[in-house]
Amino acid sequence: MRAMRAWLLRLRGTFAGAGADRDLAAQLESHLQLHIDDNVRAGMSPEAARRQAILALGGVEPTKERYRDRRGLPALDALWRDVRYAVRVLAKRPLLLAATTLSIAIGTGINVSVYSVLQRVLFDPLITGDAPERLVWVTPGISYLNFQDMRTARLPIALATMTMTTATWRTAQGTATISAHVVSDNFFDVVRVRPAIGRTFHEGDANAAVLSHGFWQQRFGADPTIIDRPIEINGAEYTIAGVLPEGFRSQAVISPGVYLPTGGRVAGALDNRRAAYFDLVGRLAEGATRGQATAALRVAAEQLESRYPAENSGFARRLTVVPGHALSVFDAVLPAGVAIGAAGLVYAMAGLVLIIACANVAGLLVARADERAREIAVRIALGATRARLAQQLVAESAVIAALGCACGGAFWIWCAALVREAPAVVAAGVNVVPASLPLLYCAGLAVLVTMACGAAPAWTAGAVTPATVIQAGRSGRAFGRLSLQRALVAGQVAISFLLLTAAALLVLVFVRSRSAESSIDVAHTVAVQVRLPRSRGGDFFWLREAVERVAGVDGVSCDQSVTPPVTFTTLLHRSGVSDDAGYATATARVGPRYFAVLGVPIERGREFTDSDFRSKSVTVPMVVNQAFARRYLGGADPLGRQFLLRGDDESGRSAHVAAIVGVVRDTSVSALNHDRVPAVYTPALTTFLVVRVKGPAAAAIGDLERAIATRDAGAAVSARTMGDRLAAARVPTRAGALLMLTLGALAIVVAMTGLYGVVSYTANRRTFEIGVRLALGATRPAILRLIVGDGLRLVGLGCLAGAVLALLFTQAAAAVLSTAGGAADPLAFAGVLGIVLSAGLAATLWPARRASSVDPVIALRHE
Amino acid sequence: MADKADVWQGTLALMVLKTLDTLGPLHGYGIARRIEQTSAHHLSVNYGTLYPALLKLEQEGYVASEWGLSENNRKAKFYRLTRAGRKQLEKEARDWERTTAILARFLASREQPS
Repeated sequence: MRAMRAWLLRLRGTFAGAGADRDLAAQLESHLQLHIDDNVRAGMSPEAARRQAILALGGVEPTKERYRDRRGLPALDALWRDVRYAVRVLAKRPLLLAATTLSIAIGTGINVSVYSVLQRVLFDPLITGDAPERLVWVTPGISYLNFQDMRTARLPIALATMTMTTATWRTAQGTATISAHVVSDNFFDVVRVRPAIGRTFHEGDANAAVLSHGFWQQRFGADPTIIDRPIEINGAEYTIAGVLPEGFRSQAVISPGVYLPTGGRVAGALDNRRAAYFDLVGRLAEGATRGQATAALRVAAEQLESRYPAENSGFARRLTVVPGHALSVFDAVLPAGVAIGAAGLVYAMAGLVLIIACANVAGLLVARADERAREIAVRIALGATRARLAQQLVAESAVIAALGCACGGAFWIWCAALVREAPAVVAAGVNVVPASLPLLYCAGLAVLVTMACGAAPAWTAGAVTPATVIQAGRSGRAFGRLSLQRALVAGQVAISFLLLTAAALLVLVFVRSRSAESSIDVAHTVAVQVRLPRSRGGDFFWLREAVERVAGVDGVSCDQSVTPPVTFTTLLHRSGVSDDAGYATATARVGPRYFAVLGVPIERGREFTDSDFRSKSVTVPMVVNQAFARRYLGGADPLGRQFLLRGDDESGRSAHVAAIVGVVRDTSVSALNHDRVPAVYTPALTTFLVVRVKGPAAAAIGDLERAIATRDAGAAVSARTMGDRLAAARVPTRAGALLMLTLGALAIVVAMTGLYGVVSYTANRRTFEIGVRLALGATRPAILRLIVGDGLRLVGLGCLAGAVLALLFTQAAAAVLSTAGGAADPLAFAGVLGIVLSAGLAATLWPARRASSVDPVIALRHE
Repeated sequence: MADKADVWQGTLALMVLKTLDTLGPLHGYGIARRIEQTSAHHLSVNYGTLYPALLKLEQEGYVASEWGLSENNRKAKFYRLTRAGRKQLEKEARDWERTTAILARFLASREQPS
């Protein structure tokens, strides 16, 4: 207790300023005076009295020193002094300070940004509500019919369900596609969330809609009178019942605009027991444990399994209950390694930029320590311990790290504000909230950076011995050949090379995906999404009839709402061959005359016609692309080959045989790999029309929308040109390529700062040597070559290491990110090599020129 | 002066506390003189240790200090014992007596070789 109190007082005393010093000085002065008075009283002359008193008092300075040590905490005091000294030293070298701070700021800024997004996407709880510790998720998904059966069972857990969908919202100005959550009417009661205004769903609600807070603010200007107003979604009229509170989340990244009740029948597949598209949320009853809930749910699931064996096989076995507040997208929504792999790669890249920045700062500080070898040697000679010296050097890196991370953090806050205001983000309803956690993370980074940057100079300083430095004199090499600093620069070049290669590969993918799409005639095709208020059977043919009557229309087909060429990857099996491993392929479901409408040439056989959709034949026709035929069938004739198609949840069809009837030209390109992706097309009829027009695509949109509106006044229509639709589908690739390019560019800038630093520093140190060379008759170009060659050797070493890393990276990336193996791309490698070498040349040329232009007389007199 | 012993480490605090207990509030110089006088000038107080020791006692809350005027009108910082200081003095005095008693017995037994 007393020791604690004393410690706290000492802690405060550490930062006591001149006042405390004055107090002690006054005490000692009064002590002296009292002693003199006594001596005079004892009969001494004033001079003798004073002399004797001063002798008795002893050294004033040692006393003050000991008093100060007791007043504060000496270790902390020394640290504080070191920091102040570091600030003073760095302030004298503004260029060094700027270069290092900027490097660290770039590194941390990127890291914090990536971290904050990843935290948002991967680690934030999916759902918020009252008493979240009793909320659970039941995985995997469940079909709506199963949910209804389970809900009526007596369980120690209250169940609700939800699913995500997109919906068309019609306003007076036009239509917009918004994200919606379709939830069971008890969803908000189970989650326990009270609305900001209005109410949530009542039992059996079918025509009520609840708005998310963000949607209400952005689209309705936070109008409090919104309750009970009508809102038209997917062609049906709903009444706005309430608005949810701010910050409520039912899914991590995309906050939906509206919540609709399952009674409104917006979601598909409500009557299909196989369609396990619904997420199951539960609240444990009072006193019930997760284990009890799991057991009870399994029993209920087993009953459903025995009642519907075909649809529910393995249902009970797979069923697990996980805590709701702990679950994030990371655990639930993305079982495939794809998103995690991609996120991990981006994170790794951002981490590499920070590593480069640290290496850079460490390199510059090592150079500084070398410059200060004399100062350090003198300090050691005067008795400074190596630990004290190391502490002082680490203090310098701490100052740089703190400054850099502060700048990085500020940069991130600024970016987050910008992103939050961006129209695209507002429209998508993505939550971007500056949170305290990323800033904490930033502070953690600062500590790491301090250690990473400070370790190298502290280590080199530890190797200094006064004797060698003093013998070596100014031109001497106290640190050997600066091998550590040179290694650091080579490492930076290697990592930049890796980052640039990754960026180049993505850019190439992007460029090539555009060229592959060129086989689609985008200039003359329009995509029209239609949602009918109710199905009348044969919707496609009924809509086609109306659209074909529009002037200038040259053909109508349909596909799924996603981009036509790339959809889900599945495994196909050869019909009748039991042991084959299966063929990974993209699949898409398309309508009659689809390729003719898109303008994609048929290479062999035929495509789907109307009769394919009317016949009841057991064998389904299918069309494959050239990549499929080439990769899986070799040179053999693809027509007539039979494959086994898996059972299809949506149409309720069980596994069936499909035979190839045609081969089309490739249009599909993997989003992350420039390889042509094998694709299989099967016939399906939807109301997502693809229309070929004679004139320009954009001009036809109005006519098409009007034609469908006259056909069914309740239909929700959103039409856009195929070009727009493809561009939207390319956004992730484009964003990825841009991000990588930015990272790569920043990395190379930071690395070149480091290279410039080390070359100019070495050149500076060799001034004397250069003077001798010049005096002995070396020409200036020869000196230039000498210095540039020295720098380029480092770059070359770095490139070599970088190329090895990049090769490993492309292997790893191919394994994680794409269906087909991506090999190293020689074009990308050559381009990156060119960029790195020319950047290296630029960074070395300037210091080399300066070095070769020294006057030998001055250089030699220097010593 | 050379034959004078410095005050042992650890005993200075006890002497300071006892001095303040006996004489009441006193300045640093007064404490030093008192210790020297009590020891019949066998001890000399090193001022380099006295002031840090006073500061330590103050940080631990055994003494408190304030500026005042000495008997001959000099400004001086006066230290006084706190209640915690008085308790500490009693405790340390007891401990010290026990230690010296034990040591004395040790030394006494050496005087009688068997």
